[in-house]
Parts: sequence; C-alpha cells; structure tokens
Amino acid sequence: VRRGEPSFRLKLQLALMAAVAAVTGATLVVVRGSAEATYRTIAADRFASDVRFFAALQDARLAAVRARCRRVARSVRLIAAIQEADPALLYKIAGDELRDVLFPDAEGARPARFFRFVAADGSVVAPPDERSWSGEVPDDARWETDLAAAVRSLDGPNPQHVGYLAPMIAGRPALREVVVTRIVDPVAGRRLGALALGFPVDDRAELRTGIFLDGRLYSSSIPEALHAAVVRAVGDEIGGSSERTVAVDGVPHRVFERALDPPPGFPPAYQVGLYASDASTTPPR
Amino acid sequence: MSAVRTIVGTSLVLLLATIAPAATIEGTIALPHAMAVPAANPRYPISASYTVGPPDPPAAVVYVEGGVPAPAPARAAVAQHRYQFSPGLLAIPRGSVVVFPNLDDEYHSVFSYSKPKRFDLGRYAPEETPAELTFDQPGVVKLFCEIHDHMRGTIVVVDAPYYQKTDPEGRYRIEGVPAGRHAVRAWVDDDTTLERAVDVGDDGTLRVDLP
Repeated sequence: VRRGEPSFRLKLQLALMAAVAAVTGATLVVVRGSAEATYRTIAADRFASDVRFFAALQDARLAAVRARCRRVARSVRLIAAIQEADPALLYKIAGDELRDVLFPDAEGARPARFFRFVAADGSVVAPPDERSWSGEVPDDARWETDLAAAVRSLDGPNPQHVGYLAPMIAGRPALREVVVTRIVDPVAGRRLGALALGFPVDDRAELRTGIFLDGRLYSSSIPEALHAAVVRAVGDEIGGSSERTVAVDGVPHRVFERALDPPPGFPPAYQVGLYASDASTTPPR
Repeated sequence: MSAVRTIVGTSLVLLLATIAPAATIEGTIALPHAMAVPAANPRYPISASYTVGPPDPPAAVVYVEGGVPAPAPARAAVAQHRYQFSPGLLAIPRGSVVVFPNLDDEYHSVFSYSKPKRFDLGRYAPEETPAELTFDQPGVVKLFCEIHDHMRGTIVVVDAPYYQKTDPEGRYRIEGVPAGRHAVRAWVDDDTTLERAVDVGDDGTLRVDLP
C-alpha cells in the first residue's frame, strides 16, 4: 500500500456503504411509489364508493318526489287546467296538488324551491303573479332556455328525468336538482307539456365533495377559497390532462371527478371529491 | 224597458224567421277516429260493480252563424252513466239550463275549468241532485270527473238557433235557415274547428261538406 492511498479495508467499507445506501434508497423509492399507488387506488375506490352512495342517496331522497310528480302529472284537475292555457288557474291548481312537496310535514324533507310548467310548444309558462306561489324567480332569461331544453329531452320514452341547473338567484348561481315530468292527457294521448320541480342540493357536508356544473363548483364542504383551484383541476382532468392535486391546509389532495350521467337536455354535471394524496393523512370523513 | 224591447225584437225576428223563406243546409263533416278506451284509474277506491262503458263515438257540432236571430234557451241533461258522460258531446243554445244526473252506483264529481262556464259540482251520490247550471256564454265547455279521470265530456254552447250534432258518420241536416250570407262552422275537437261562408237562397237544399 502506497503512502496516502486508502487501505483496501477502507475501500471495501466505503464500497459496502455505497451499495447498502443504494439498495436502501432504491427500496425506499419502490416502497414509496407502491404506497402512493396503493393509496391512489384506495382513494379512487373511496371516491367511486362515494359516487355510488351519492347516487343511491339521491334516488332514495327523490323517490317519493318522483312518484308524487308522476301522480300530479296525471291529475285530472291539472290536465283540465293546462288545457285552458290560463297560467293563473294552472299555478293555483298545481299549488294545491303539490302542497305536500312545497311544504312537507316530514322532518328533514327538503321543500321544493320552485315549480314551473312548460307548455307543449316548449315555452316556460310564466307564473302570473306572486299570489300563485311558484317559488324562486331567477334573474336570468337563460334559465328558461335551459329548462325548456331539459323538457325537450322528455321527447324520448322516459317520461321523467332528474338533472342539475343553476339559475341565478339574487345575483348568484344556485345549484338546483330539477325533476322534469311529462304531462300527457291519458284519454286523448296528447302531450300537454311538462312539470319542473327544483330542489336545493344536499352535498353531504361531512365530505369534501361538490357538484361541478357549467364551469363552476357548488359545494358547502370544500372551502370557497379552493373553488377556483378545484375548478381548474377538474377542467384539466376533463380535458384529458394528467391528474391534479390541490393543497388543503398544506396537505396535497387529489381531485377526483366523475360524470353524473345527466339525461339528455340537461347540461353535463360532475361529482367532485377531494382526497388527501399523502398516505400518512387520513382522508376526510 | 230595454228588456221588453229585446223580447219584442227577438219575437219579431223569430216570427219573421218562421214565415220567411228558408233553406236547408246539409253535408258531412270529416270526423277523427274513435279513441281507445283508456284504462280506468279512479282516484278513490271503488266497488266491485265498477264497469266502464264505451265512450260515445266521435261526432261534431255544426251551427250556422251570422245574420241569424238569437237562440231560444233550452233544457238539457248530461248524465253520468256507466262511468261516462252521456251524451259525451252536447250542443245547446246560449242561455240553456243543463242538469247532471248521476245514474251510476257511486259518487261523481263533475267540474269544468273552461272559460265560458267554470263550475265544480262537488261530490254527489246517485240519490242527490246537483245544482242546475245555466250556460250563458257561447263557447266550448270541457267536462271532467275528479273521481274518474277517464271521463271526458264536451258542451258546445252556440249563439245561434240553427245547430245540430252530427251522427257518427259525420252527417248533419239543418233546416229553416233564412236566406242570406252566413258562416257554417263545425266544432270537431279541441284542435279542429272548420268553417265555410255560404250564401243561402230562399229555399232548397245547400250541401256543405267540411273540410
């Protein structure tokens, strides 16, 4: 061994240390990647489960309303009134027939926020005045166009659809779950129009979820300050780019979205969920 | 005083109409196909004896307007029989009184939201006598029963003494029409009212098929 050169033992020790460090580092990288992939899968499964739960919740919540709408659409008094082309009479009769939907007695039942009729020609029948209660009066005329389009979707075999609309109420868009039901005279077999009922959306405040509609996020559980970032992330993902994350209180959260499969005529809507992408963070529940 | 004038005037017109030359208008109206009987869907529970009869075959109401005297009111009935209005289509002159006897075993609840005559008789049993109604506005009055939503009826109130309901083949014959230029109108259904202007001579028969 020449003077100044490390000894063989030292070289061996250094080489062993380097090998151990390399193997350890590689193992850590592999394990971390595997853990992240596993967690991504878990989060995706959880989101899929939440979407199914959301759909089941919506079905259960709306089942009674949908049945009530179908009964009202067959009501002989309503059919008699809609044939007279008299908005005051029509909304008065409908207000009576829909009383238990507009002012439900059951605890926790959500009252409808509005109801409207759409005539056979596709035009929205304007309520005559405030005496005949028909609920919210949106600020924008575009809302009527959206509603008419939703009703046109009833031209198919299905006599009833549920979708989302966001009319401007008091200067702000308000998300509404809208049930549209075709009205047909069962004796003459003639289509007379449609009934539309709008309900506020229950977005399950205990989860960081919301509804993405028409470029806007509607959620009471995702902080308002994050909405713009979530909207960008959802827009990117719908556009086909890679997955995006949003930081919530410094913790990165993955943004999931899934099309809610709206019926034809309604604008596309997505359920959005935020889940922590760090395996050390418990997903919000 | 004005009432006396009206009565005297109407009487004179009617007298002139009876002694003046008159013609007959006849023809055929194209009628829609008969509707299938829908499945009964009563709003309230019903008894085992509930049997729905067939609705009346399609018919139209033909009437002559323009330059004709005011009609004399009449008295008519629209019964509820075998869970149908009978007749399903009734033509009456303005000012007529109509009764609505219930000939079935159960309650009926007849109402109309039509502008010429809005009414709601409420529920009444066969042994009860609902109110008689005067139809003093011309137009079409659609009849419904709240309990039996398949029941549909129509009363056509005409402002003319010359009118007739067609037979099931659409044939009609209106006699005693005074000479002059008139309009022959036919109410066929909610979407269809046919019309033709005619010049009626002193006598003879004028054929008017619509359309």
